[in-house]
This record gives sequence, C-alpha cells and structure tokens, in this order.
Amino acid sequence: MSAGDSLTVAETAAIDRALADAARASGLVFNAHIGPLGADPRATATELHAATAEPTRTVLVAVDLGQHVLEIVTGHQAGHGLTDGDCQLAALTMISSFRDGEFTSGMVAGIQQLGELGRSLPILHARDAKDISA
Amino acid sequence: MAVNDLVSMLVPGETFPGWPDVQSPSVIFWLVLLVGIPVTVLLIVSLIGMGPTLIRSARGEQVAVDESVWLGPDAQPRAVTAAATAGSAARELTPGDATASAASTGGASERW
Repeated sequence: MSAGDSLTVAETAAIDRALADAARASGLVFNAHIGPLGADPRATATELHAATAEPTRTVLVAVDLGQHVLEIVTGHQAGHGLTDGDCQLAALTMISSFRDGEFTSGMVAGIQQLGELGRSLPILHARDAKDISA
Repeated sequence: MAVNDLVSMLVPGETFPGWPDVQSPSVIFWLVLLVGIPVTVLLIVSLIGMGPTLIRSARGEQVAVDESVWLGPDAQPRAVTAAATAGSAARELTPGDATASAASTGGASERW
C-alpha cells in the first residue's frame, strides 16, 4: 500500500483489534496514526504522542506512507516495559512487511509484537514465601 | 488440411488422402484467435480480481490514507493532526502538551 491507496473497514478494524489486544497484554495505551508526518517525522510523531490523553503510558505507532517513514514513540512510563530495542525489533518486523506491500499485516504483526514485548512478566522468585507455600 | 505460410513453418502438415480440403482461415480469424480471445479472458480475470475493491469503493467503505487516520482509544482531534503535520509553529496540542519533549520519549524510527 502506498499514499493514495485506501484502507478498508476490515483493515482498520484489524489494526484496531491489534491495538486493543496489545493494550490488554501490556497494560499500556496503544494508538496508531496513519498519515503525513511533515518534514520532521520524528518531531511530528512526538508531538502527536504528547497530544494523547496519557502520553507517559502511551505507545504511538505513526506511519507516513508517502515518505515511507515509520515512527514508534513511547512515553516515559511505557518505556520501562518497552525498551527502544524492543521498538526497533517491532519496527523491523513492520517494515519488512511494508516492503512487500503488506501494510495491514505488517501493522498488526508489529503492534502485537510491541504488546508482547511490553508485557511485564511477574517475578516469581520475588513473591512472598507464604504465597508460594499456600 | 489448408496450411498457411506461418503454420507450415512450424508444423509441416498435409491433408491425408481422401480427407476434404479445408479453406484457409482469414486474417480476421487469426486476429480474433490470437489477440481477441486472450485479451477478453485477461479483462474478465482482471474484473474478477478487482471486483471486491470496486464494490467496496462504490459503497464508500474505504478510508483514503492521504488523510490522517487515528486508530486506538485516543480519538485525536483532526485540528491537532492537521496542525502538527503542516509544521505550524502555533500547534494546538491538548492533554499532556506540557510533558511533550523528545527527551522524555523513546521508541524507534525506520524508513523503507
């Protein structure tokens, strides 16, 4: 898909579902922005991220199909569970699909990956001994 | 069997004894056979392939990606997106604007 193409209702629903699943898995807020990001995509994506309701807990996936740019922005709190390396990994997953023209599946796969990587696993050995024996 | 010059180069043939002679096909016949029918089949296959897209487009079920599309729990005001993407200095950012800075955010950037 490129600029000028269209997303179907089913495709937007699939991305929406992936965002909701990722939010459920990680406890973070996931948003996606598909559209022009201007001359400085990173700055624009950061400002869009800041305009969300809970920027510190929000992960924004911004894609400019015209410039072929993907930006993932994580808030301060979201960054604890989701490192820049995790975001880089998900970004690579996404762009490898984008290069094949698979926009929706790339978005879904990348967002799911972010949700999985952002999930904070419980540290079992740190639990109280009483809880374990009970 | 009537054989024209082109076919005779590929398949040297002759009518068996006792078989009726066949009239040589016209140029129109060859054009229809070699061009007309393949083009028609190609058009039909293309229409079948594009059918669902055309139907969805006619029903208005598509969202043009030239425009900004927001997905997720935060319903982003269009004005914010428009101002931000236009590179305007006077951006009208809403919640969390005060905390917006590149230093407090992480993530990744990629191009393809």
